[in-house]
Amino acid sequence: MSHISSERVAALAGGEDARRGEARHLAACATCARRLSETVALLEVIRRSEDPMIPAERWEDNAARVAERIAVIKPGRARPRRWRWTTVPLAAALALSVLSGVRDSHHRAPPLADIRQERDLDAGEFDCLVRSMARSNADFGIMELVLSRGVSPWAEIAAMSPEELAGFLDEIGTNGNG
Amino acid sequence: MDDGDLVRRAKGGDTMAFGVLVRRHQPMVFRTVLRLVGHEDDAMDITQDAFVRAYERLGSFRGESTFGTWVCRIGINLGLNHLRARRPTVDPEDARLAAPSLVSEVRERMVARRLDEAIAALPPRQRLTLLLKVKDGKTHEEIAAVLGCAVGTSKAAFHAAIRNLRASMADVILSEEDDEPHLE
Repeated sequence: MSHISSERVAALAGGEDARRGEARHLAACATCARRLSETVALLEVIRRSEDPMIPAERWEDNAARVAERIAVIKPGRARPRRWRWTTVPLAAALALSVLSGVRDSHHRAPPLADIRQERDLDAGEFDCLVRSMARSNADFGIMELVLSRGVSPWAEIAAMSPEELAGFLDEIGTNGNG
Repeated sequence: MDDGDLVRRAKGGDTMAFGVLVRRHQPMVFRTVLRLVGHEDDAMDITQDAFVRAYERLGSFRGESTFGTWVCRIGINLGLNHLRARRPTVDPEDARLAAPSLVSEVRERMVARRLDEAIAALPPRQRLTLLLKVKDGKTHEEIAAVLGCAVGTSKAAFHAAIRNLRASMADVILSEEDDEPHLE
């Protein structure tokens, strides 16, 4: 006799509707019906458990601390951080792809330049975007962007000195008007 | 005022507007982080850090998700970093705060205690998926949005969590999983 898989038992216990044949099987199979009821009971114990009660003062205290900390921060701008060298080529590749798009903008603006235009980002904000994308989990997006440009800028980037890279990023931030 | 208006104001430097966002969303962020890290004080600290980080990065928030989902994700990432930093110490006593603690029957108390330990022993993402689904009633789509993963990944994590819980609880109340072929 074929039983309902443990994956489906979990799904059913989690609230999914029974598929065709499953309901009939559950009605006829004591083993599966027991497995399901046990799992439901297990989840019910978890569901009925209580979360800690947080006094209102503690929320207020936490909000006040956040307010204190953000008072010295400009919104939307990351704190200066030390660059990790592994991210520099990635950021530079992205920046180069944007720059090449800027130069060819009479043909088709690159995605990031579009974003800059749509969002009306100033040079600093745009630079922040480029850098934060390089630091975040947007690696796939960056790679896709580089590939979509149909160029391979890695050799050019590899040839740059750290100073040239820094200058290059600054140039993008200052001159990349999209 | 809705979140979108508050975010726009906060982007312009209105810290009072951001304060409203903090008060509005900190219980949800705290609860989510607590489910991950299992310790109330740590969860509160991480919640605070998450909002500071969110303020720092407000310029990159494009409104593709809700503000609440976005800041929850930041909290989860900080929580995962926290767990990585403190590994391998997992204290079931701490985890009890995130898991069952009060049930009416003595037997259920015993089961709940065992469950506390079993939940605390789950990998962080399995634990978080399980508790977001069961305790907070979130759908797999909502969990996927918060965790930044595919819906199928959330379903798989939920299944794995239940499988692991069943294995941990097998000697208490559960019948054993069978090895017979399954309906698919």
